[in-house]
Amino acid sequence: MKIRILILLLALIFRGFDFGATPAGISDDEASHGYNAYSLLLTGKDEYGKSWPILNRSFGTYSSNLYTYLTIVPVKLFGLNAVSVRFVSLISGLILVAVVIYTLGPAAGFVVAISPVFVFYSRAAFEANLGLMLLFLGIVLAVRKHPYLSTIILSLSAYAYQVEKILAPILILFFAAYYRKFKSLIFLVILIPLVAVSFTSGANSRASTLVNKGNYLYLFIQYFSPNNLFSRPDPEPKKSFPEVSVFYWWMITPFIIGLRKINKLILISAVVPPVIAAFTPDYFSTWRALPTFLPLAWIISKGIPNKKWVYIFLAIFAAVELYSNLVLLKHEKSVAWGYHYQTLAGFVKTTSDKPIVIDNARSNAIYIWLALYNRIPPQKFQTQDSQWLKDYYNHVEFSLDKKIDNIEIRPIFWEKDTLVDQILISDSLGISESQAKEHFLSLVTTIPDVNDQPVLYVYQTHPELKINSMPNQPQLR
Amino acid sequence: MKKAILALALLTSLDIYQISVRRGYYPPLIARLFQNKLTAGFTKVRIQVFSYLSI
Repeated sequence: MKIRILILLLALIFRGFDFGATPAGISDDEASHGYNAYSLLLTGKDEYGKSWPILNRSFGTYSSNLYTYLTIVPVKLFGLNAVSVRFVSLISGLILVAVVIYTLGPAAGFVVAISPVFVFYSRAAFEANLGLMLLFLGIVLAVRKHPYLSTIILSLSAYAYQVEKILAPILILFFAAYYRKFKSLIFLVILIPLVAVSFTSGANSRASTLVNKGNYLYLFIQYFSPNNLFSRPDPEPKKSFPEVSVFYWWMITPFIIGLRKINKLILISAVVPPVIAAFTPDYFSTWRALPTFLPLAWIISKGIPNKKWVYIFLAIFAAVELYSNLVLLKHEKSVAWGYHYQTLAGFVKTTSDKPIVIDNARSNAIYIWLALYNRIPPQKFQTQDSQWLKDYYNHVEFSLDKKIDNIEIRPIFWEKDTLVDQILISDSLGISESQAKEHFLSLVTTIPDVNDQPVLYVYQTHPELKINSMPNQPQLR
Repeated sequence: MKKAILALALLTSLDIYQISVRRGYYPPLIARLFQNKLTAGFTKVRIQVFSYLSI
């Protein structure tokens, strides 16, 4: 019992150290979860004005919404901030470790507690982490002969993430047939709302863009490449620690030793998630194949010698590695995690007396960061168009451009924007030094990243100077 | 494998620059522990070794 609590404590330290501050910033997807939770809490509607939607309309794609709904609780308790937005993922990660300890044993729990992939996904708002926890809990409950509870949890997991949307119904039917507990299928009623919207163009728009048009077998094999599992980070910058893979490099040794103890069940549970993940065109996406890494962690745990000093040494070694990884994550990925948008939100809040244009030519949906950090009332975004809301799950079109009071988020139009007394904000590619000089823009301030390096540049236009310079232009030519 | 071991002694000027930049992220004493030629060389070796294992 003491060892189990110690492992859980270790998991908490690994996940909770500098929680909310590393990764530095809040990603656009996280901001969407947080702001929609805030909007639902205040108005009972999401940012678009839809009452308690079944799928979360997130910038034109329709993602699973259970994470958003659960985030309402921490937003109510702790306010709208990074800790609240990531809290559900942290709790999911801790529950996962606890369930693994009690089902697969303390050694497997130890590996899950320290493995980079599980630590990383518990430190930020990833609905895949919630989905994994519910899926595993549902399977455990089914095996431990709790068919009703298992069906409820597995059904809920389908609302948590896309992979579970496919896996959960298959598992529910499989367990009902295997244990001959068909009465539990009554709880499939939970899935009815999800099935009802699954045939809309919104629900399927994401699926159609994700269907693999390339080499399926090649992509499938990549999920078992030692390079991808133990050395190379996830190709997507926001999905892993810098230069750290799914597991630490040294874990390949216990993995090879543990392979001798592999059984049919472990093999099946390791292979099934990549069968689904490989349908997407992405090369090795850790978040889509997250359930695969649980059986692999179990294999690693079987290769670790059952000696107390080995576990103490590995815990210290992993803690040292994690500290290094967290420092690099904070400093090298702050721009990818949108750290600078908090400062930008602070700037636009204090500059309400002038028109502001924020260039979004190379950015994601900037409005969501402003809405989150400045706690803009959701009513400003919500539509009153009942026809649009009636057809909510079919609006796949989405514009990154937005107008909020004095702020316009859109690309810069040089011909007209320099002739208006306003503030232009962009990165160094959007407004170069020579462009600033040419259009008589004066630098007001810069918006830095976590290392104090400028990311965004804030310029004031001078239309009178620009207009005065215009009659000379034909002569220059 | 020989090539991988050689990488320990063959850090490029870009690698050295990366070490010096990264040192700034850590408290001075700890920076020496994580960001030095030995750990950078080891990471290069690790990448080489695992690329041989790649499918």
